[in-house]
Amino acid sequence: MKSEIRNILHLALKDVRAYYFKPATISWGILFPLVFVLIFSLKNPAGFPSMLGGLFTMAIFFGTTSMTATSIMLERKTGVFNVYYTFPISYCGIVLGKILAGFLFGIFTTLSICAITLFFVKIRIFNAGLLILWVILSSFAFSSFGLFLSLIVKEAYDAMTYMNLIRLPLIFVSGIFLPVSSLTPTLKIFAYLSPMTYSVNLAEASILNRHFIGVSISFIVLATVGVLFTALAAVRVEKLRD
Amino acid sequence: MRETIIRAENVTKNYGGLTAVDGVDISIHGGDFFGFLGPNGAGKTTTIKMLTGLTNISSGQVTVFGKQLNKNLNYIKKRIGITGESTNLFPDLTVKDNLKFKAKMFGVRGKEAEKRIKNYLSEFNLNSKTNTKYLFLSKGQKRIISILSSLIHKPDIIFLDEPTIGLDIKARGIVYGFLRRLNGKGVTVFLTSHYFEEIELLCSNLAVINKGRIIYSGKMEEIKKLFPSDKILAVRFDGKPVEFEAQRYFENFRISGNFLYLRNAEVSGALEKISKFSKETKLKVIEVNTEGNKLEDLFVKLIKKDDREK
Ligand SMILES: Nc1ncnc2c1ncn2[C@@H]1O[C@H](COP(=O)(O)OP(=O)(O)OP(=O)(O)O)[C@@H](O)[C@H]1O
Ligand SMILES: [Mg+2]
Repeated sequence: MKSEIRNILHLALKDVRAYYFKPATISWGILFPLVFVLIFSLKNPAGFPSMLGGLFTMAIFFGTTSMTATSIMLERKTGVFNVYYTFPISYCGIVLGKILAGFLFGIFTTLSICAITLFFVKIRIFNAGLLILWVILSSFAFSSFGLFLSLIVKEAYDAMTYMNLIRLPLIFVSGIFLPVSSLTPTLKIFAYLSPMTYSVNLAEASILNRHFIGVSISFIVLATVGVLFTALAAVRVEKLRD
Repeated sequence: MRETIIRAENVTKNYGGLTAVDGVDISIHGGDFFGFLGPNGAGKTTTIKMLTGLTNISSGQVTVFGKQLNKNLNYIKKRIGITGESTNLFPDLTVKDNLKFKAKMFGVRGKEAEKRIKNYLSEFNLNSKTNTKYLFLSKGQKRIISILSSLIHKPDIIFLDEPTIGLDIKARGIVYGFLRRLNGKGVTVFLTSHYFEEIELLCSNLAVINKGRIIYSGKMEEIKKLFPSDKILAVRFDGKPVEFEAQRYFENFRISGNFLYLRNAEVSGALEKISKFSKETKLKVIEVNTEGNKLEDLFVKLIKKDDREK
């Protein structure tokens, strides 16, 4: 057990070292959300604070998923992914190591973007403790979600493109730019199916004291998403062995 | 009696409708240098994967170190090293970071890991590459480092899947020497190859696999006795070798065009001499082949013999 936990940490730190500074990670994981934050802060300074929850959620979502997609894409392309199977570590351990790397990256990029934004925009965070919990839970949920998505693509080099195929529509329906209340009834169904919606909801609850889904429901949904995709990713890793 | 390290009984692997490995029996004892010979697609890699727990076994039994493979995977993984067909190192990390990572995954940490890395690299004069990204190494250097990386936890047995493919004569010689020393220290070696001369040079035991079935297995000396024949090593250079220069290096030889033919030469010694000869005469070696005892001939003989006996 002790060596399993150690190996999860070693695996995650190896990913940090190898992939944090890759162009794909930086451009999709940091630059992309940062540009949106800048655009909205300049376009509508008065309405900007009300956008923060959505924009920060986008930062977590793109940070974590870009990290997992980059590492899985490169490792499957070169075949080095198979080396994990030679280590004394379980499939679930491999998955947790990968998730941890995305998780740390998501937390790091989001907190940086938060800090930069709050330095320029004077607003009072309603509940900082809740904000921290939101960052942690969302990073976990999206990191495992992103990992699972990168593991199910057939052509590994396509992972980032494929990822955007899912990420971009999710941004649209999850209440980041448009409030969920303004969506058509059909799109609302997708909004409630998207884990991002619950993350945006929590972010707004902690920053603006505004939410349209219960805080505890949002927590439960995000935690469930995290655990579910961790399990699915572990099954997938076992499958990929053949 | 030496310890049986690996025992595979009637092991089979099906991929959909294809039977890649068909009822294979293998036993390997501690200290063996086991050669696994077979043409492309014969089932060598699949067999290695089954013996090391890298893929499921469709039917049959594998025990490693006396323990059932699928029930003791982590224990067994700690005691085996694998250099497979695909790379086992991360292109974006330096040589040192790669080796350190692998060491840590096997519980080798701190000073001990540093020491092993330093010793291994200096054994191959690769200290200058310590902080080079793996991506920027030459093909031969990559191969050496990847073999080293699968030894970092001092396994009792190492599996090498065609470790010398794509390496030039000199690099092959270096790998051969290293594997011999390793085996001399008591590490059991499992080596696959297409090259009969490689297996012949190194191995104490061998098995030949064809279309998923073992068609011969036994001791090296025995198979040699079965098929005595003159062996010719054919070396092709990028120019015509000169007779009197060749005389200084070789005894039983013939020159024809850009080819130098050596009769009944001992392979490892010959490779060394060819390398020196090539350096002095500035003739590049294009390829080296054995004639008269080629793998294909051997298969034909083995299969014919098999048929006659039936
Ligand atoms: N994952 C797989 N899915 C389907 N078929 C496979 C898979 N892996 C191997 N095979 C098939 O199994 C057979 C044996 O393959 P294997 O890789 O074991 O051969 P090999 O002896 O290692 O060949 P080579 O010398 O070319 O490396 C081949 O016909 C191959 O196509
Ligand atoms: Mg093979």
